[in-house]
Amino acid sequence: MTVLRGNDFRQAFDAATRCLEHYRDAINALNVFPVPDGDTGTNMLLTMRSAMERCPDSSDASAAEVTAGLADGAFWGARGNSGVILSQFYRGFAEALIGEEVCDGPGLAQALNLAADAAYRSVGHPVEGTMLTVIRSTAIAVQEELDRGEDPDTPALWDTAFHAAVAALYRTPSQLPVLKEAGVVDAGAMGIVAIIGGILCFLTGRDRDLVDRALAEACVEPVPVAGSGTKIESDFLDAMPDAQWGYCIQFLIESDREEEGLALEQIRERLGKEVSDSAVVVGDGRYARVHVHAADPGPPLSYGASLGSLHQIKIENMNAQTVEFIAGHRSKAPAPGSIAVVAVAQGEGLAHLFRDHGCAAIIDGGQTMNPSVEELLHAAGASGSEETIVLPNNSNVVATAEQSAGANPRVHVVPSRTVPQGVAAMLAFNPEDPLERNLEKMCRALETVVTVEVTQAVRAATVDGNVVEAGRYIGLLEGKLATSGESPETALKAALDRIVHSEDQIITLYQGADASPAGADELRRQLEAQTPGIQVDLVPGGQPHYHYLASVE
Amino acid sequence: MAIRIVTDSAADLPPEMSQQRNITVVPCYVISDDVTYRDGVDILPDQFYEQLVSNPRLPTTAQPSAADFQSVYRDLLAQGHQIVSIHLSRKLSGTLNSAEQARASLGAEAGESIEIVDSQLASVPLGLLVMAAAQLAPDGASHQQVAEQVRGDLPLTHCFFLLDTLEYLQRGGRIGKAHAFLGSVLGVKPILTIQDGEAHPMERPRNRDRALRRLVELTEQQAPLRHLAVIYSTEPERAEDLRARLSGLAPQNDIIISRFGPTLGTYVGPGALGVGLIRAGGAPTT
Repeated sequence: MTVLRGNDFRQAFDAATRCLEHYRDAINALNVFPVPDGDTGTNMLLTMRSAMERCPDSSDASAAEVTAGLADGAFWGARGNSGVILSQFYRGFAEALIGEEVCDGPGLAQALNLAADAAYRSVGHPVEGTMLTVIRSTAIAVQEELDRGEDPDTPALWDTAFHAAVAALYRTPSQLPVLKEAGVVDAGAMGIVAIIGGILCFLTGRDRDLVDRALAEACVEPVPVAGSGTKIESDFLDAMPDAQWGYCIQFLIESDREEEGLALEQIRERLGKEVSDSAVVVGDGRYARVHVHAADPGPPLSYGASLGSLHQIKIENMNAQTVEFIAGHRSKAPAPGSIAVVAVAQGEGLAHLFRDHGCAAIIDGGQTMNPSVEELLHAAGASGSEETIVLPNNSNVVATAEQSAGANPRVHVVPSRTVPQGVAAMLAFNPEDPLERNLEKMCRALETVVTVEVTQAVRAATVDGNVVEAGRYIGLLEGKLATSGESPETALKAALDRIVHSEDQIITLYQGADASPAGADELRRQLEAQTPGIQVDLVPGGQPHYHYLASVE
Repeated sequence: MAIRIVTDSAADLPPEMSQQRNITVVPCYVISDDVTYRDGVDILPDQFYEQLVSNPRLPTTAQPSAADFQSVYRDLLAQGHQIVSIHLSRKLSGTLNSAEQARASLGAEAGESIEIVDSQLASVPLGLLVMAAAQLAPDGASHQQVAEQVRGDLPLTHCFFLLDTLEYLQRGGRIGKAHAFLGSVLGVKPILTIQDGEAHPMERPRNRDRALRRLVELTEQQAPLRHLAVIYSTEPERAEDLRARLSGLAPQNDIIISRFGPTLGTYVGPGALGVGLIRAGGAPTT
């Protein structure tokens, strides 16, 4: 075949999803930090599944329609940094194919190129040696192949893309020192390889051994996960339901105005004002793809129909969402100037803490602790206020939060990378202050705490030049591996000793679900004895995976 | 004929100040266990706070009656004085209503000699306004002019309080916008202010020491100042400490120490500490 039709794309990306599933555990194991968090494989897989859900399943759908659907789905379902970048990959891809019935060689080169552009743009500080590099390398390789003028067919181009991706994957440790130290290739990059590999297998009719062998030849050996260190079960994730509410309404508007075209910003604003804050509108002047959640599907459809002809109309009724919010009285129209804060947190105690100090809703994030764009936007919409501030409280959720904010001008992010930073930001929030002042004060508050996180190493790692076996407790200081110990308290104390130096400081210890109360009390006694007069607050956090989260300020 | 300043006990004026400057203080009422006390007359702060902490039933407060104001006004008018009557915010109490009713009841002519001002404040900032007015009174201005001056000072008047707990404010039904700061998991010491006659949340420092430092910083941001006072409910030594930290910020280093009387004490509770100030005019530094 020399071109890909819509249906071909759908089947190809479906195959890619299954391939990613096959490598999911191996990708998860490539986590640079030996911590049970930020599972790249799972996040990318869930993002892919969301993409597939919005993909039109009619066999006559055009390449444009299918890739737009994939981009839509990926956008909403994006989880974790890798999920967000992947959703941008799809977006670029779809942008290249707007209005196209099929995708030929040059179309593919353009698609990969725009995908790379979108991916790089989505990251504040793009770093080489990651999935960004791999995506770019596929774009370059395919373009070069086309330029050679031998008129390669589609499978040949994907083959080129795949081998370029594998080579780039192999190079990632040489580009990013932390990978080299950890002895792994980049997880997100491997995810891209799996996706492209899956597509290649589908197009050539070959089985996945193709991917295995290519990886082996490039000497890419994912480090195995140590024993029972991983606490996340794959089966549970497979059964995870999609949580939503109201109607999900999607349609494509084809403009009927010759000269004018469709003003996306205007459509977004109108829908945002009259229908729902979580409207996503993408496209160019001729087509606009609308995705909105609303209690009544009528108005958005009528509005769309007033702008042009509607195609690919899809309306779904959705079931109750998993976001909990304070049962308090929610009036229909948000009070002008009202601001709500929504926080991502796991653990009954942490949820209680945030709510106690004024948070309107808590987002759980599920087993991977990484909520999707959709979940964040739902929580923002459900808060009932005019503006919403999101506290991601996890460095792997910041990008998702920022993508959500990009889709909704009423959603703002205070980029807390840890729970203690989020708590400091929460305390700086004052619903009486205007939005800008709150954002300013909350962002400044992030820098006032130093965070320590203690967990059990899921695989062997190197700390300060010392090798730590799997199962030992490790302390991360501001996100970097710093200490280790035989008990969580030992690892924590060693990290705290590095930053506690005065009785004027305040130490806050958030006890996880796995921490022992006796251990926590003993630790508090030791800290108080060591620095008389220092304030040590013990908060039952109940968080999973991290025995302790702590802050010093 | 002179101008006399009248206020109510919610101004928390140190008694010697009101005496020195001929300020008439109309007592509010404090009702505890069904016994009614006149604030500052029948019940004094130490006694009040002991009861507050030990009694599970919170005392309530009530405004002075129109009759109370009537008798004060009559007395002063009979001596040939003009009156500027400055009171607790209308949103916090019915005291102003009582004053207005009293004036109305004395007839139109008498009424012209009485200017009534809604301070939109309570406690120490109200007290400072009253004292500033008392300072003006002997200078030969009319009572209307003094009242105008007081109204002009309103935007320059500020206060910040740190509370040990919001519990009393909440139980007393006055929490208002400060309910946003009710969280107790982390023992924060909220800093509040009074604006538009209501309590408003300002900041949530993690502990007393930090709250104290913030009080000083917030005060410094308002400099230069014309008047400055420190107020406390149950800990005089902390008030002294705060005064020392604020030294240099008031003209002639004259920083008044005041105490939350029962009227406000019911709501701020023990362990409260605050600052009241009147700026020197012109824009503040923030």
